[in-house]
Amino acid sequence: MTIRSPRQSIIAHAIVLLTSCVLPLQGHAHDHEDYTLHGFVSQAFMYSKGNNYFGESTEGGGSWDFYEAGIGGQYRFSPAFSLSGQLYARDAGRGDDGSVRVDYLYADARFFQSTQSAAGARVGRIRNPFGLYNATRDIFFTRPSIVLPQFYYEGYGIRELFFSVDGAQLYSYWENDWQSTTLDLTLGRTDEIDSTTLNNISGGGSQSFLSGGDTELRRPLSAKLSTDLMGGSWRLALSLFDGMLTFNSNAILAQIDTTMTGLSIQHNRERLSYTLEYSLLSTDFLFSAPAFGATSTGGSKGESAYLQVDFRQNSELTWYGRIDHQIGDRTRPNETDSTVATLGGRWAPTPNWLFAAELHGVRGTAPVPRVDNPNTQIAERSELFVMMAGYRF
Amino acid sequence: MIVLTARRKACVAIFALGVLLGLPARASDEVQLIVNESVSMPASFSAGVLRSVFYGRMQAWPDGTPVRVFVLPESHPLHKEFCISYLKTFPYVLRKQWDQLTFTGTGVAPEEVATTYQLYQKVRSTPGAIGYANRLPGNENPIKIVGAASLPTDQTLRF
Repeated sequence: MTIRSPRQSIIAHAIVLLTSCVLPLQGHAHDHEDYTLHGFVSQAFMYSKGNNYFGESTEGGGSWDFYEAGIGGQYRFSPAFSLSGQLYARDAGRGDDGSVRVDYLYADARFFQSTQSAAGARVGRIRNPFGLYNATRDIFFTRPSIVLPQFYYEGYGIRELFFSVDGAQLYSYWENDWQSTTLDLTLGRTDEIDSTTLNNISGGGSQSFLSGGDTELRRPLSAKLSTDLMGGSWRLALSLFDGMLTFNSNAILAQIDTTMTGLSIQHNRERLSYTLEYSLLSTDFLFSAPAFGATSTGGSKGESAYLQVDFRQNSELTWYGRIDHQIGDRTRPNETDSTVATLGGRWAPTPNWLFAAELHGVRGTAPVPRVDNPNTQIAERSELFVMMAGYRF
Repeated sequence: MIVLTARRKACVAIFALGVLLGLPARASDEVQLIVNESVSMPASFSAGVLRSVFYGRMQAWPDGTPVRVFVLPESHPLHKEFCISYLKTFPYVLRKQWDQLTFTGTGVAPEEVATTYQLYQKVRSTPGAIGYANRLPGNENPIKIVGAASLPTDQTLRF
């Protein structure tokens, strides 16, 4: 069960209410000449065996402790200058508490525009466009499945670190008749890490070790180069994220330098889509306790890859299957690997409604959210059934 | 001697440019591009430019007028035909692109209207608008310009 303050709860429900109030506004995003508004709300049910996922999902009745809601829009002062923002609330077991946060809020100035290219800058809180889905990872309607593949590091608690930054982003695109190429370069400012993120990273059991000091993510940098060939028939992307996590107290200095590189390939046909994404996560750490004369350094490399096949039976119904493999440490592949097999279906009876259900067979402990399984031995195997319903406007 | 009005001259020039620069004279037997008469057409209206407009990347015409894109629902046969013939893509790929724009705040998805007649009326009455319509048999032009001067139910379009 998630415990949250009454204020957080009121604000979260206000978003859901606000979203409900505009449900009668039919159509896609609500368009006006100068501004657009959009919103979404989705609720999941999870039932699992072996381990808990997003709440106490192994209990008899399953878990309803996973919802997402958001409302946002864009105001255009001119075609070259706009302001965009989105408020967002997410409850995901003990990993997220339903509190409302500013998902993104930035000013966008386009300083160059021709008929085949453009360049501009965004300043504010910006989503990191890593891989094909990170920029919209929390929106049911844009995910490839209800639960993301391990490529997006849901289970590690890193999600909060690399999902958006306060900083600046330079963007550009150029295209011709057969291709369209986009480049985004994002530089974030040094930011303090909040206690919820720390709790997720440490698995909920090491808070005392990290308390009493400052934890920061220093100057995160991300870049993404992507190309759509032949109208999006082929989509290729190369993504990079680099950030240094530091912990500093009177007695201890710890630094973890993280670099993540992602390669994405997607092939879209009329009925079938094939998506392959691979990531390499390199981590170098330094641990120093001067009072004890102790210093330690090291590093590790982890890999993650998945292949998903989507079959569109018709314009409303899509079936998908995915095999997803991760090696937490390449020097110990047999001890740190995990595999998730997913089968699911997605039904969109109208553009505004989406329903999905999926089954996951999980081998390994990396995909299991530790915060939802406190004080217990994590089971090597688990099965998970998830359903989700969502509405957007 | 044939006297060309300014609009007709524009049509001829656009047709010539379209043919010269890659936009097929008749990408489809079924569907034809329509643009509002206020639109200052790009010097090279190629398939790449068209994709840039319909994918929501190009937000202003060369004279600075905001681009306003109108489309039919994803399941409409004319929308499918337009996606395949002009954009060389599938409706679901386009929808994903629009969702990405909407939910990241980085662009504006096209406005969806229910019928071909509503689409025509929107393009006809909105400065900077672009859309598509049914093509009449024998009509070879790649682009049709519509605006206040065109008839409320244009004789050269089918609804």
